[in-house]
Amino acid sequence: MLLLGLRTLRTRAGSFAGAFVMIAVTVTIVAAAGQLMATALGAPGAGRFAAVDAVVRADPDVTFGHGEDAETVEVARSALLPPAAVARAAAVPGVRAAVGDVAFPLTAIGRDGRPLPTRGATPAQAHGWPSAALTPYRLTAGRPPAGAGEIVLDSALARAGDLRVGDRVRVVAPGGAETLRVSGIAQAARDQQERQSAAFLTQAAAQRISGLGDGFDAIAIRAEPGAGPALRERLREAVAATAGVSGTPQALDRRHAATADAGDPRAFERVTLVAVVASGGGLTTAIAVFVVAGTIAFVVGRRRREIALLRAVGATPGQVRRLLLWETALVGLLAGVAGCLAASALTGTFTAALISVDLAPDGFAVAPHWLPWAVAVATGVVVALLAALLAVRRALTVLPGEALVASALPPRRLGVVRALLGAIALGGGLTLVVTLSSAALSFASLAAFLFAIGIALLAPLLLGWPAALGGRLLRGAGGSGFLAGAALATGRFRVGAVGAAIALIVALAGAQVVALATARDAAQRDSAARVRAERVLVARDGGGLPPSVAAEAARLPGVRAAAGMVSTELFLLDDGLTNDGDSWSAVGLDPAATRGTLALGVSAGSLDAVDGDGIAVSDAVAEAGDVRIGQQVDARLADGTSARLRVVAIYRRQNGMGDVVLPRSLALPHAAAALDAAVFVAADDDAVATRALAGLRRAVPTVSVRSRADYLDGVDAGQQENADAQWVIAALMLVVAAMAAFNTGAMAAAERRPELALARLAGATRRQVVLAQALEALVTTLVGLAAGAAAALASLTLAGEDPTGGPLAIPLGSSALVLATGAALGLLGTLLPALLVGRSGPIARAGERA
Amino acid sequence: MPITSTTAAAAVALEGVAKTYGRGEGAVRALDGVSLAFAPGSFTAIMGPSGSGKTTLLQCAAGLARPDAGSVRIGSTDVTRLPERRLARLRRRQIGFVFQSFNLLPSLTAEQNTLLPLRLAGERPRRRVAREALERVGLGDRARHRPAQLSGGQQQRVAIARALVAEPQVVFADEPTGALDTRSAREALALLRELVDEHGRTLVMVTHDPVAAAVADRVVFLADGRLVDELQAPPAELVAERMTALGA
Repeated sequence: MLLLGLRTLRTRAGSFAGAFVMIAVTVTIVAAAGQLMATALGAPGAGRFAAVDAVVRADPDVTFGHGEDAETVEVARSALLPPAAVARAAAVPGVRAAVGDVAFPLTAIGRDGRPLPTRGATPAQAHGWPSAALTPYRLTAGRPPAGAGEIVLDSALARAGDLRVGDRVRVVAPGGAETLRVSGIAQAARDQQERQSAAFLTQAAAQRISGLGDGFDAIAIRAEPGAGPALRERLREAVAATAGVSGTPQALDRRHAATADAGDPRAFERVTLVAVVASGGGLTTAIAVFVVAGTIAFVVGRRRREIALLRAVGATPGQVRRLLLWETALVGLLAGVAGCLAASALTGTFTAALISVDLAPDGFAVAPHWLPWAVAVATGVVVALLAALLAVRRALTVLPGEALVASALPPRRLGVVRALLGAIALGGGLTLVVTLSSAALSFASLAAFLFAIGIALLAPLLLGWPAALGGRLLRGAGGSGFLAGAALATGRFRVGAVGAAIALIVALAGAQVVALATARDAAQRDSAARVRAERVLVARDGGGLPPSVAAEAARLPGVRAAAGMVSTELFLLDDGLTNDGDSWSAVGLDPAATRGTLALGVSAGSLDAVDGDGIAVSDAVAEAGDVRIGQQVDARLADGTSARLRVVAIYRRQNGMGDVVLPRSLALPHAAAALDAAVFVAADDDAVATRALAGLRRAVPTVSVRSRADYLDGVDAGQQENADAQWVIAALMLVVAAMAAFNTGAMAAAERRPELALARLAGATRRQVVLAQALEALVTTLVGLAAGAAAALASLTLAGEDPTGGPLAIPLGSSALVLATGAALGLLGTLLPALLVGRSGPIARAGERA
Repeated sequence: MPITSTTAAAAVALEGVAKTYGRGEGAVRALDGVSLAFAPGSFTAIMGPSGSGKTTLLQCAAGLARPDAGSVRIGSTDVTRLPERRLARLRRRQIGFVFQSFNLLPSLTAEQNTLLPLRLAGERPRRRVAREALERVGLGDRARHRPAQLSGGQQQRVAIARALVAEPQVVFADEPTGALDTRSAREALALLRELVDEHGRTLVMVTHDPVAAAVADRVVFLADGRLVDELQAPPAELVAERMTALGA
């Protein structure tokens, strides 16, 4: 059977082309996804700590639950370690030197008053001078910083700002804005400089303007030669025993050292990238199985006589099944190899796309691993086999007697299995929408996908019948209408296949577009109600503002109040409040400053009590955990520090801000950086305030003054990274669905060929035939569009129950684009192959059996 | 008309076979209780106007379709009761087929097509076997050609070579000369006759061509699903006369 399969492939290569391309594209996506995941999940490397042997940082783990159900997540930046810990670490046997390391964002301002462009993440990261030796950064000019007013820049920054030793440069750090003298220029290995920009101050100055006091982010260890892995265990114990250190510190070896560097691009949200890429690959594979199954079933249909002959000559049904499986498996293998080759060529493009939507940091580069290639090729074969198994049932219904009888194709009926699967898919989508309505927006794409699959499986019914109805209407419209109407009435399976592909495209893209617009609308609505301040100060480079800016702004003439808002996160460990093992987005505010600037819509308790250990929570949190005023909660701050907090208020308008309000004084020291995300300024006298704010901007050049309207326009829907992530998945889906549309279109055209040839012989002109096909394509497309739109809207019916949602917002522009894309792909997919096929003369085709 | 009754050692024996296609109003009774036996080593032609049920009869006799009533024995096996897998085994070694057209798998060479039933049975026959059979039918030099490169008559002969190699007891032929020119038809019929005379096979041939029927030992006539007449080694003119009478 294998040999027979090989020979069949050789002679009938063309009929397998559709399946081949579909599997190859799927494998390309799976292979690329696999490589991205392997790199993201692999050891992050040493990064800035390339010249050390180990790095110690405070306990980064936050554990939800107990015992077997315990889930642990790592915070991006762990708590500070006290200075005593450095001495303790240095005293551990086997340690040659221990260096305390700090890292904080610092923006250097160029001569034109604008922030200097940086490599990797913005802004640049500043450290104490002892940290320079850890990479190492070597001086290429000047000398190390000697006093509080001196700074060393890396060579790229210096070049960008045209700065030389002795020049003065204005910098903005969490401690405020200062003018420093460039005492030297340093350089590290090129790939390190590409990853992040760096600046160095004296250790004391660094700790001062970091806004974080005299602790250290990490302790870098140089070990004695021959000190083994046991050293890390000893370091852990020694540091844990230091006063002021809670939990179990983490001691990383050089391969993982970059994790301890908060400014390192690889300390990014790997989980999100992996989740996005994995779901993209998974959904693509699922769609591919269906499409390839359709292609194989179609090819089987065209090989009926051959299969009948095989049966007549003595092949058992089992042998026929094995033949088809072998053929398909071989196609899958070849397509798998082709797909891997394509993936290796396209890895750069995929990575660039991910970087452009902020799912991966600048400088993320795939390090190819052999496992994803193997998995991808295996996926190709598995997809092919699954598809063949689905399709082969049709082959087994071929009766050997058909070898004798020139019969028309037996009438096709929707199989019980197929109908059942379709019902399950629809039911699944419905269940998802109803039971997960509180996260309706996040699951909208998945629900739409399930609906679309259900529609595809039940397509002859759900799409075929309406199309047949449409065809009935066309019958009166001249010769072409008659042909088209008849085709639509009898070709329910064909119409269903093409319409389903269009429905899939529209459902996925439509759900995405509407979900995002709804979330955005909800966030803007809440924000508009919440933000009372006429002016909002934000950082130009997208980072944050030093906390001193808010204090300064409050003192300006014409300003009534200025509230600085720290953007951070909070983990709640109590049952019901864990947010599925994820943090809640949180802000730090000073309640007194919110009067006149922010109206949070407090529904219970009082915001004034947000002080010390008092926090306010959104009604989403309150509902999730059945929280009451005065309740104590077990929390971990953004750097993992434990805190026992008390709920003192519940508010409504959390969209676009955060689900928890912490006292500013608690949030600042534990946030990723001690910066305000925004400062809301309420003015008594607008003109005076504006002038004064301009003066503030001159003093702190990273400040950008926005009007309330401008700020609201740019408000983060709270899920911006998720939005981009969903777009990546949607884009992948669209590519695959488009291929499905072309595939089915080509098959439909081939199926119609003999019929249309007959029509030509009966006297139809070529134009009439083409017009008939166009009408058929039009009705099929319309039915597909309607089904897709229905699926998209159905997936979002309960968006109002989602706290991040509200009434459905259907953006006209994007929706029109989605419908137009679906229509274009559908029409192209059906007409293009039809037109190409129509070229050959009628006579040759008339006797051919479909 | 007296119909020859079954003998104990018939190669193929049909007893009361009936088959209806379709349901309700559109139902067509293709076969209406046919009993017929084919002696081993005989060459029988089945004739009748179109719609008489001769193709259905062939399908049922060959085990390609299950009759609604009655029994079909090939040798001593009742094929109406066999599951598909056992039937498949029968088709490899006991039964051979020659069709009007589409006899060969398009992706295999003549040689490979010839050996197909044996390969399906899991055997690994020598290529020489196929060559010899192809030479017998006059296609020794075309062994490596694909069906697309062979004429209709040549494809027919490859099918006959296949019937030679697998050495089936019974060969069923459906309009074997239907798509051929007179010369190829004559050659094919000669080969079929050789199958019976030199190799002792039983041949059952459905045809509408009186000239082809005249090559057979016995011609049975079918009309409206029933056996209506039988002639022993008739000349072509007599066959044609009977056919015209049936059609009137």
